[in-house]
Amino acid sequence: MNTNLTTPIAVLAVSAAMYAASASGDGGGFEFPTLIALIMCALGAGMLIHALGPGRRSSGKRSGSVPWGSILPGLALFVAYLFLMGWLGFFVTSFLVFVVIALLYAPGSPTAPAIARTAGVAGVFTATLYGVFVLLLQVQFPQGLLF
Amino acid sequence: MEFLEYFPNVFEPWNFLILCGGTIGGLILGATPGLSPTMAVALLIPFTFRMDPTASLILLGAVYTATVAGGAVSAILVNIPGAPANIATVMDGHPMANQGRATEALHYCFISSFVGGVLGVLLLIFFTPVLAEFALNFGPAELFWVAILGVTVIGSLGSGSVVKGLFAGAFGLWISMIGYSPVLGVERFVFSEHLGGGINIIAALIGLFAIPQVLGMMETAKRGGKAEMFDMENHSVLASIKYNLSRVKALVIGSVTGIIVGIIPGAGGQIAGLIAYDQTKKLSRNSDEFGKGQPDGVIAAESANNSMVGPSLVPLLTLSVPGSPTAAVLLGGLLINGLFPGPDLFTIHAEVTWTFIDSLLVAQLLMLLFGLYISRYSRFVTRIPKFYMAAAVTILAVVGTYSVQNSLSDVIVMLTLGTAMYFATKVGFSPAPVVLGIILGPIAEDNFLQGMLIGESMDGVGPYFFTGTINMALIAFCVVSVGYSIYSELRSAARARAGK
Repeated sequence: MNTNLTTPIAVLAVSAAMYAASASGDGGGFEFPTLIALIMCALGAGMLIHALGPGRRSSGKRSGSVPWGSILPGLALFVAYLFLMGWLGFFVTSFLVFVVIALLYAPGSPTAPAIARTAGVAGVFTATLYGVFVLLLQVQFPQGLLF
Repeated sequence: MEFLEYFPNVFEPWNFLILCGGTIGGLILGATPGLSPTMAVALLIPFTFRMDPTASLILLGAVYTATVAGGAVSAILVNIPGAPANIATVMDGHPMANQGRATEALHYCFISSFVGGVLGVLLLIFFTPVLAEFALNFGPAELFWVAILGVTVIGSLGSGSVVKGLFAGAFGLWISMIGYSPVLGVERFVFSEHLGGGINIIAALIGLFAIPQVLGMMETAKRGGKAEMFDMENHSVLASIKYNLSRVKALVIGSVTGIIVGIIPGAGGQIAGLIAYDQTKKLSRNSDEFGKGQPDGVIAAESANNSMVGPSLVPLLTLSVPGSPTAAVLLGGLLINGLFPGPDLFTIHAEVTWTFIDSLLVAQLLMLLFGLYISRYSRFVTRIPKFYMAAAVTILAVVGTYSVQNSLSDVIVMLTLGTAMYFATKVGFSPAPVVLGIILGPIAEDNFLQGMLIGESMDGVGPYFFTGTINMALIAFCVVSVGYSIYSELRSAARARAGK
């Protein structure tokens, strides 16, 4: 499908879903969301008409395609972070995620000195956050197996 | 002269320590490529959550001021603007560094930022109370239109595409209504247990601004590449000050442009810097030297982007309409401290508000002093690898979001919104209108419902919302901002076609 059409169609689908959710609401409190969803549908339709117009010009800046190879490991790490923090403990998971992100996205293959350096930076960073949030600001984080 | 009454508060030990820390931290954050002022302020909000409102606002204001100036460091040394506001600084700042004049360029950057910043804050001091007094005439209909104006203006002027900007603003308004209706107590759009408490503003701010940048860093981190290391030459600060202050034309054009652009809601620092640079170049006798290391280019761009900071807070503090995306995040900081923009800020909360504004003035001086001092060391900051930045910002975003209300649901919402925003930016959407929609949504809805009730008991809902001088003026502003943006977009498209 033409990439210029994908965005308006997606926008229109999201707007229609939001309108359906707003319009099906019982009682008061749904007037304003319905109005906003209607405006979104109109803007989505405008984008579609614009995309179907002469020359199929794309509106707005286009930053380029998504480099899935670089992004997917990062997204997987976000999900792993959420699952692990309750099990292992917030700060241990944060330390591990820091190390994995830094090693995964560092140029070249990881070497023993690079791993040690990264672990050191991650340790100092996590300890600083622990000091600020737990000791100073008294925030309670999920404990898990460790801390 | 109420602002003088609260001036000593800035120098109370805790407040002054926070101000110094915020300024130094802001300079470092600004100098770090990949950390924008908006993201820096958003990430700092959780730290301020347990502070008293005065210290909290002093910290956010100092970081806002210093990150804009600090962004020039990477613009000059690495050819990468530290913030969008420093785009114009790159054009002559980096060529100056290539000519062995890096220290000199950094001196001009901080001196001009100081001059522009002081003028901008003075406008904030003298203009804001007058506008706040005027806002006393606003009822629910006017406040509803002000909220819509905020979303409309930042959606149309602050985005690459008018339709996409307005859609993003409307999307923000809609998702702000997830959870319980504050007026009627009805549960709405709770599609998952994690949405039961609605969308937390801080979680949304952090997610929308930080996560797309983290994913952006992940895109390019593998490529590595080291920044050039300039030998920082010895250059007398006094000689820099003398030369800088002699460039009156560049300073005036920069400062006046920044003040005008700053006061226009949603316009932002990059526009101020670019307009000031362009005008200074056009009015210069040496216009052919611009782009090759002409100091006037740095002076105009930097005085413009810092003089924009103060005025961008004028519509924010009086009408809840931010003058820049960072000011929109600052609005979140005000709201979580229980401070609502409008006349109450200058009556009930006068001490907090005036201390905050006075601290912005002192922050300019501290930014100058610290900036000049750390100029020689700033090259090291620009060499922080992206993979460390991506890891640190991810952890900070998660820890910061969780700490606001000890809620894992907020972290899930933050990561989900941020990831969605990353993909949305790929097709031309901006996070600022979404954030503003989330912040202004409850204000718009409350006043819409109140206005409906008042209108039904009077002459009707239509006349209540669509008559009256202030209502009509606000509606006209909405129409003009959208109309002007459509005109600009069509003109740019026509120029691009003619260029081809």
